[in-house]
Amino acid sequence: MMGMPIEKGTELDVAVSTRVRLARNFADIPFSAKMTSKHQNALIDRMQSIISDYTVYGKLMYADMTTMHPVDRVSLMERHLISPDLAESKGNSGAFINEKENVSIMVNEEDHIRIQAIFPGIMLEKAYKVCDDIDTIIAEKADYAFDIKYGYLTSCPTNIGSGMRASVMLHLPALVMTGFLKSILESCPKLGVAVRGIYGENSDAVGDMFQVSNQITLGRKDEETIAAIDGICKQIIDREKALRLQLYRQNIYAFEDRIYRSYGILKNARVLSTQECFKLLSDVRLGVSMGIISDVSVLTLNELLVLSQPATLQKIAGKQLEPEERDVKRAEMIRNRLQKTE
Amino acid sequence: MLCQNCHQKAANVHFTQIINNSKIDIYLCEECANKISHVEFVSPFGFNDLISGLFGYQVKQEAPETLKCKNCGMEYEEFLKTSRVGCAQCYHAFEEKLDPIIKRLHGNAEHRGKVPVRVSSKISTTNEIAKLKQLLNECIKKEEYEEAAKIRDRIKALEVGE
Repeated sequence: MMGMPIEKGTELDVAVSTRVRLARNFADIPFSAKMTSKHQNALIDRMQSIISDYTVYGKLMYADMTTMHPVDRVSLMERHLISPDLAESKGNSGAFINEKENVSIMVNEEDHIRIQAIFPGIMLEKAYKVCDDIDTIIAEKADYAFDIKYGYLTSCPTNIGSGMRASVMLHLPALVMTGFLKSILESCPKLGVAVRGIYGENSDAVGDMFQVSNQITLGRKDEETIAAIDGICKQIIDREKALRLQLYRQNIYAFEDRIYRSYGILKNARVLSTQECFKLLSDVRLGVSMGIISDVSVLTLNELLVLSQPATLQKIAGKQLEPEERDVKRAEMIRNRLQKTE
Repeated sequence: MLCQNCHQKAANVHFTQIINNSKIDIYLCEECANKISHVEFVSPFGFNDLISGLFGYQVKQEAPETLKCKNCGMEYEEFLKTSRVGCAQCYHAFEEKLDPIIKRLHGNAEHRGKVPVRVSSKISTTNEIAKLKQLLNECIKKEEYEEAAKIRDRIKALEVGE
């Protein structure tokens, strides 16, 4: 299955997806900076033997980065199953991914392993439980690098302690339009919360999508961090919803016009760049969540957001495409999908 | 503002030169600045650069000494450049310098929450032994030797079990 995992989450009109990841290292193997290829192979073997019988969340199949085509790697990244770093990794690395594509364990990334779960909408507790379960199974079979004072030890000291990053991707067009997002961006770091673009660190915010995640990993229980991110996201969501209504009431015709124009372009365009596509999808998503457009669901739009990205698009086409060809293919794919839903 | 040398690219390097008490300001792009000066100009915008900057901040003022992890061979200077430690032992090898940095990153905090099951069983055994040893001392002081012998055997059993 490609695209977002189809499972009901909450607050789908603003929250796109939830991701939790745990960074873990083993005590007896050097960390990534000092690993040899022998260590890397041994680590993959260890994970194979620990995880091979574990099927609680479906069988976890190994996606080997060394043999995978670059387009497929980037496509996994676009689907948030692996990180940008793993997609570009030159060493022996990979990820164990389940069939539903909502659980993945990256191996030989910045840390030995990164266990992650991804769900639609806000589902922080569920995503955490999945990671926690897998983590417990691994901890029973091998010794993690752990310190009483510093907690789980990681390659970079920014992740020590819980090794956890809990993040929610939010669609915030009204906060962007009104400029209120700026004050959120300014106040979040004070609360130990980071707001970033859709691929995490160093990435741009496209299509009014923002990732809200915890910055601090030491000294807080996982449950406390999860509750804090959940609380902050829900506040941002409430604000976004109130502003959407306010903008709508201010000028109903202009608001609806913008949404219907974007929908019209998406359904009819013959050439669509990634940037334009994301902007239009953002408008339509806003329209759907406010009940202005009713013949397409937010889940379909979430899926289109993933499918219209360059590498995933080439994966669907089954061949490598030049940028101009991609823009044509993207327009065609979106036209077909939107016609199907009518 | 455009580069005063090539007049094409945006100027992002500012040179100030003071000759005979008169100040000269020159604005150049990165490329021209590199050509003209012997100093390498690179925009320090990456996340890792920022983090390394944070780590390196306090060290610059101290006398340089080679701090090295005996387990993996990682040098502290190398860690400063990459912001990645080489193994679990690095945290102890670099503790003196790393601890203040960790406090800056995470606040004055210690780990709370999940503990790996194998570690937690070791901790509980260690705690249990410590408690029993205390009890043993008390028994000896009170000259309750029969009880002391029982406790001693229990400690031995726990230690072998480890």
